[in-house]
Amino acid sequence: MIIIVIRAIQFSVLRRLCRRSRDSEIAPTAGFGTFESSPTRELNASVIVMKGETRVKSAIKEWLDNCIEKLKVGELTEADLRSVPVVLNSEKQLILYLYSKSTNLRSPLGGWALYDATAPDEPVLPSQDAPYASVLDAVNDGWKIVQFPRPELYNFTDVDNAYLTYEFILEKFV
Amino acid sequence: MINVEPTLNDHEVMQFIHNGYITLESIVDVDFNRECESVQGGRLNDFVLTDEFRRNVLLHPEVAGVVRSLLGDNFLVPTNAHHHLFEAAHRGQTWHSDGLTEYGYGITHLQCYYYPKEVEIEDGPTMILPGSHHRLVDREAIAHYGDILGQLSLTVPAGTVAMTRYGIWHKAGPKLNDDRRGMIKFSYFRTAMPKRDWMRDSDEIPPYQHAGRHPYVTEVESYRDRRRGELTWNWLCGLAEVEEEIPPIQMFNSGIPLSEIQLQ
Repeated sequence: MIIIVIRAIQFSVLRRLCRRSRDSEIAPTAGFGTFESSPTRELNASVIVMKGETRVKSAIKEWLDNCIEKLKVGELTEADLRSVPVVLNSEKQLILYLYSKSTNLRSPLGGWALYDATAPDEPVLPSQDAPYASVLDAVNDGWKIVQFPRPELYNFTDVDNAYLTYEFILEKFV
Repeated sequence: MINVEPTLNDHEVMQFIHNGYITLESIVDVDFNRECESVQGGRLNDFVLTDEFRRNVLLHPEVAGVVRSLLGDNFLVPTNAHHHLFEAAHRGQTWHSDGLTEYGYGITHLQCYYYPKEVEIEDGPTMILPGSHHRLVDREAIAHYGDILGQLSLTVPAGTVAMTRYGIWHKAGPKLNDDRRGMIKFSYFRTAMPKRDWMRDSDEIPPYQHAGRHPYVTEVESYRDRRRGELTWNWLCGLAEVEEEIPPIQMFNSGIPLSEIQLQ
């Protein structure tokens, strides 16, 4: 029975790990403040770029590796299995804003911002290298879209531009 | 009245309409730059009223020539300024435009940044987004934006003056060191309706030439930029297509007409 439970958890976890197996290369930029005369740290979030290998060893993977080792030597306990919720809740959400040139997920990007609450609060130089070629490219790298742009909310006149378009919001857990 | 000759031509004015900024590199005298390096941060209302500051910066022939080209004659010369002084490292500001919007097709307000000292990328240079000067937005609602294709870090030599169409998105970039980085910000305002106030090769007004698409701009946005550029160009040339008055007194509007200035 324990083996079945382990296998089920392992399968679920591996699915998640596969989706984020190419993360890393952190290059934070931007940050806080509004006026140049009064740079308040009102937006204490980091904006980072991620692509490539896993940058943080997942707490879930670490827990799973530990359980497998214990299983092999016959030391796996009920307490180990009951710690799953704790491990799951330890994951942190990353938020990625992508500005697509159209509502098509294959369109190129015009801007991006990644917020990672776990990243160090340090200044990092700006970048002109988009983290992904498109929203679909990010989805292929394990990001989940949590908000799609709604065309009816965008201004449409023959002369006036306003906010950056089209804003997709994605999330990933590490 | 102090004579100020326009310095821009048709093509350069069209470029300004498209980009929303122009930079004049290393134009201010080296000794005056050194003097300004040690000025305190914050408001500089007395300092900008001195003949020295007017002569070296505000009415420098190249600076005033751009103002004369874009705002016409007898423009308002700044009577206040703010020294944006940073020393400690910081993450940078969020994208914003200053104050309230001054919306319209015309060019009536030039906001300028003077850098007494060289600014390198680690110094937290001002960043601007070319072409964003006509985007009407709530400044707090763009604070989550990060990197934008085409954004520009103003890494400039000492004595540079960047001149922008009020409303351009900008921010202080991330600063990696503890070196002193100063920027003195001031504004010029228009007092007269436009009449193609720059240098002319001929009296025939050329049609507006759209300079293309900024890297972050979508296709339909680029069409809109083209149309808006045409309207601004026509307004600046005094053509009848656009009937737009000079806006009334704006927030932070402060200046003295060029005709009332006498340098000792």
